[in-house]
Amino acid sequence: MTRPVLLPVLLLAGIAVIGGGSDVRAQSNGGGRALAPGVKVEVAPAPGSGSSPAAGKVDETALRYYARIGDGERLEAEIARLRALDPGWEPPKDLFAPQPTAAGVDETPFWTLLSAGKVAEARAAIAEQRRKSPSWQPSDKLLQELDLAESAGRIRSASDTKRWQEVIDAAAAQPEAVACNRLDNAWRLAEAYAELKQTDRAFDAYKTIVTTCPKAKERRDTIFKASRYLSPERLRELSALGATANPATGEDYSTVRSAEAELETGRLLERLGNAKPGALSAADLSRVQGIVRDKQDADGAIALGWYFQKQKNFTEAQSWFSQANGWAPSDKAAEGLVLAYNGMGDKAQARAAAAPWKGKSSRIDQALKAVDPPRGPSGGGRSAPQGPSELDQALARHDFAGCIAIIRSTIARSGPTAALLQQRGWCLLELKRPSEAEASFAEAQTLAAREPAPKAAPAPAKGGASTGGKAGDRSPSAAGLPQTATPAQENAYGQAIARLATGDVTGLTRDLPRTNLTPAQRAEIRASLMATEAGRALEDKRYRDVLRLLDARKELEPEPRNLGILRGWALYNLMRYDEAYAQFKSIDDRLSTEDSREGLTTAWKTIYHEW
Amino acid sequence: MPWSPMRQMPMADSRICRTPGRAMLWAALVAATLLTSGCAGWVRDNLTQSPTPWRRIQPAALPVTLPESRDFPIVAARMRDTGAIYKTYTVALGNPTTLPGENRLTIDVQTLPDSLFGALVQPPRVFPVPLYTMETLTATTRREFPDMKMKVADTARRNHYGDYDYVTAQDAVNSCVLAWQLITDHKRMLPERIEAVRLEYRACGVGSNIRALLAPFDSLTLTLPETILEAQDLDGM
Amino acid sequence: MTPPIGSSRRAVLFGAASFGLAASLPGSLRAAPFDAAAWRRYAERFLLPEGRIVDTGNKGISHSEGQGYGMLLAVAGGDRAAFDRLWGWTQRVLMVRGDGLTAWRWTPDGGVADHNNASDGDMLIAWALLRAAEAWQAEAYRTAAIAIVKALAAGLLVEHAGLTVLLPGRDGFRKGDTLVLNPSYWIFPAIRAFAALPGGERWSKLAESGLVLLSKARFGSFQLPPDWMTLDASGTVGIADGFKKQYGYDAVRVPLYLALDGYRDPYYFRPFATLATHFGGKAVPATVSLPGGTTTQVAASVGMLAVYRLACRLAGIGGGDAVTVPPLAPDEDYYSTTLTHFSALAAQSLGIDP
Repeated sequence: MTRPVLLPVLLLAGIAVIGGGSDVRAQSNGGGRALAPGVKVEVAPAPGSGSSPAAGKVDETALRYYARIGDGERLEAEIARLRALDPGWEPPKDLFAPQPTAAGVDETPFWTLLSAGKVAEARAAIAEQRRKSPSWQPSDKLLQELDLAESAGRIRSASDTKRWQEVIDAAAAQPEAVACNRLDNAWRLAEAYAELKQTDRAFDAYKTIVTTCPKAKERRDTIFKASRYLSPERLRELSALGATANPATGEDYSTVRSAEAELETGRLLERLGNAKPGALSAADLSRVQGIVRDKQDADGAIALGWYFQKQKNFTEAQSWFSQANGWAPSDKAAEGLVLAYNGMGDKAQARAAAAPWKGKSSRIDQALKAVDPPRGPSGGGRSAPQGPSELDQALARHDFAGCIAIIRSTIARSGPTAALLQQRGWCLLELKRPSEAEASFAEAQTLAAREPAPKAAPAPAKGGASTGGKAGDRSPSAAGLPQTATPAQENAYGQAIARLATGDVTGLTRDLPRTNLTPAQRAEIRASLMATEAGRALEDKRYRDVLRLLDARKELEPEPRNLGILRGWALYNLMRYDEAYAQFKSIDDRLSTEDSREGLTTAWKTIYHEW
Repeated sequence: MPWSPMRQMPMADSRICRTPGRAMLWAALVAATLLTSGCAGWVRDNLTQSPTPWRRIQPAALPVTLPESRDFPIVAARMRDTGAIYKTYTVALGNPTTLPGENRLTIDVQTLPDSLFGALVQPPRVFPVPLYTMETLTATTRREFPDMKMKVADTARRNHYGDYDYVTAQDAVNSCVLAWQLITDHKRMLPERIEAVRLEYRACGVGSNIRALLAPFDSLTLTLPETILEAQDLDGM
Repeated sequence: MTPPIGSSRRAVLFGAASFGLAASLPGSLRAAPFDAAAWRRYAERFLLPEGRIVDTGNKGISHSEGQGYGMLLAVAGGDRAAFDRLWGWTQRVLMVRGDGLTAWRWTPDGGVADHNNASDGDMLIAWALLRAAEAWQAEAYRTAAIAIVKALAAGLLVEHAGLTVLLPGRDGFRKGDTLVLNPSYWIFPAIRAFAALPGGERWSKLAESGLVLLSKARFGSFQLPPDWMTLDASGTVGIADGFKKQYGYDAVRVPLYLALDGYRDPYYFRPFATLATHFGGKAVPATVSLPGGTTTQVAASVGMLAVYRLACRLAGIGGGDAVTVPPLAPDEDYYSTTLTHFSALAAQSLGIDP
């Protein structure tokens, strides 16, 4: 039962072996590196690398067990391990024959419980057996496996409950539990060090993993894990080590090196999105520009565009929006382009940039209002040549608080107009005040009904605003004509979006058929309703419904990233792990984020039983 | 069955531009999809335990009476159910500032289950107890009042239903409050069938008069079908 | 005195003690065997004429556990008269619930102080009755035992998370879908005796579940079971709220009961042995907070040390003398003395000590 002196012997034996599969190579490279004082990473190919064969006799218990259950992979690994222990040893010829075991006790039931994850049950059964046959001892291999499984459980539960010191204690008590083939334990140990602010040890732990564990995928995942705790400098070091140290044949480590760059981009882009003007250092800015250019990342270019737009650096903004539109034309990129040209005072270019989307994209139509502000008849006859109004400038800056302040004072000065109230609705929506926004759109609608039809309405007036929201369904647009939203439709659309934002899904679904919207607007709202419903379905664990709704939604609009991830989880929970993995992978390959990585890792671990 | 960790749906990509139009749909979607996909679940009876969608109600149908207020009029009222146990009402109030975020009063009413089945299958509580820890409070106020100076009130205030706590937030122009209260006094206030009532109030206004901001919360009256008595000795208020 | 009757080796040894066969070796390396003389000394100190065992460490109260221990030791000591007095008092004073179970706590001032039962007390009493029926060929004891076992099975045995478990008392140990359990209420030899009765299958399951739970209920750096634990619907074990979150006076009996039932798997004794040897086998703390590991200033009593010595031997840790057990002091309290005697009985039945 005791396991004296054999661990060092084993480590030496491991180092003596060269060649064989990549697993064995890893063992030779890594055998017992210290993750931390007292804790070693045991880089062993098969479970239970610390077992002790009786003197002169190799312990074949596990071998026979793997043979019996037909687990070829583990069988081979076990053969390799036993050969490493005793180079003269040959696998028994009767490997697959039933084997009478010592003291007449068959260990199969215990192994079965163990491989089903029922460790406590296995312990109980063994104790009962030992009570009945006091002379019997379970094989060392079995005990070792049980110890390892328990340690892994202990590490997991301690780390799940944030008892970090216990994670370290548990790993120290059973160093073999922390190994490349038990990577999750190693990650948790590193995390525990990091949480206890022992950053150097955390770094050492991550370093040991990325330099000893052979799989590129694992090294890459480790760098993402480490990104929560380590500084960019240390992450760079980690990536460099992971990309070069102890390479195994057939593994492509370029993805390890790129992991750090991806993290960096993600971090910088996120900061770009939230940054106040000038908040990014010149070095960071040039870094992110370089990465975005390298990857031809249109979303990244748009983010950069807005960053410069907020700084009123319209020229720079224009060039990034333009770049984005070149890589992947989209109304998002065009919208930025329109507003950037507008900021530069080049209205002709702005209109030209809007042209491909005009009437098809509400965000473009909205942006165009900054270029050619709609004039309500009671707007006071303010003339345009002076350049964009105060309000337009606020909008071009995305200054929505300014927007409602300006509208408020304008209304106080010269009374409300339908156009002002509608704009106020959009700005309130931006400020996450949807209830007031809805009220504002409704007011706009009421007011529009009293106002004379606008002369410069961008829509082919067909009874127009005076019919309010009721005429829409009875006057479908003539086929072929690009349909631009009437002010009434814009108001109805604004109200619908506000209702979505307040969660009034049921009411909106009920009212939608009777609402005056353009087909494009209607499709957009329907798509959003389906997305919301899909979200609810996931919450209710109606995973098939999630897929049904997302599929239907996809017919209306391409699927955005976050719904793609939602789809991934639905597949995962339907136990369609391979499809879930493929789904997460396709998203992660485009842009790797914490969400996509988490999905990917979870699906991968489930498929390969790596929990 | 494989173990799967609890998960949160991702927030929409923060890089999605915030302009009127399509981007707004994201905001709505994000609000609706702060989800957990649950633990490897085939728990079918969960179906009735998650919250229903919000539905709009007339202000008159709210179980609360608020004083008439020029700055904080009732803009909209909504409610939803969670299982047979919880009813949540939310009142969007006017916001005289240009700050983001709605002013609102939220009321969660927790009733006792009226059937054995209801007792066996209870939805998860819709509000935590304690309502806030310092950590959750910090996170909430940061979200509600970004870029403002925050202060947790040292002493509680009293309204008709006893003591409550609150935070103030200020910038150069505006002030905001977030107040919260859990009513569990069965000896005097709550009828037998109501287990607890939780109130949360958020208001931003122009200027620095905190008392004026708290006035609606100080003087609100709950009007549930079964009478909730007011706390004692409030006459001096 | 009647010679012991029984087929299992343990029963023989348990009873053999009554002959005083075991030579008493000097020194503290060996547990003093439990024999008729030891019983007499025990009875003099703790058994009052009316038939109740006094918990001298707890203001002189009595409880069902004490009655059970007393009855078991009386059988082992071959003292039927004392046994009858104990059983009589138990019936008269404690069995007032009307459901066949005993009220667990009695105080000299107030009589029955808590009507709730304590399942371990009921089990000890029923097990003692079964042993008495066997030792003295008295069917009445057996009938009484069966009634208690049935009442326990009806009210306290529950299936939860796929396990058969024993509630510590009729009332108050369910919190939603989580149960509060006491690992030291798994009195394995008693459970085995109940399982052997007609229709005793659920008791076999209880024993199996006990081993499973003891494998799961391991906390802190010593991996000790808590005095009180929770079991949720998914089968996850935790440390119970509302009790002291510790390993201590209750859970120390876990290895004792395992040993008494003939278990000898070192895995189940290792946590206790590790704790004892960590403190050099001498000033072992009486309690350890879980999962934190803070220990009290109060040292383990003689009886607890006797349990630790047993655990060390079965765990194969520290050799036979890993723990020094001082002799019982003249004023040693009821609980310590009881644990000492039961440790001796366990060692004897396992063949560790004569």
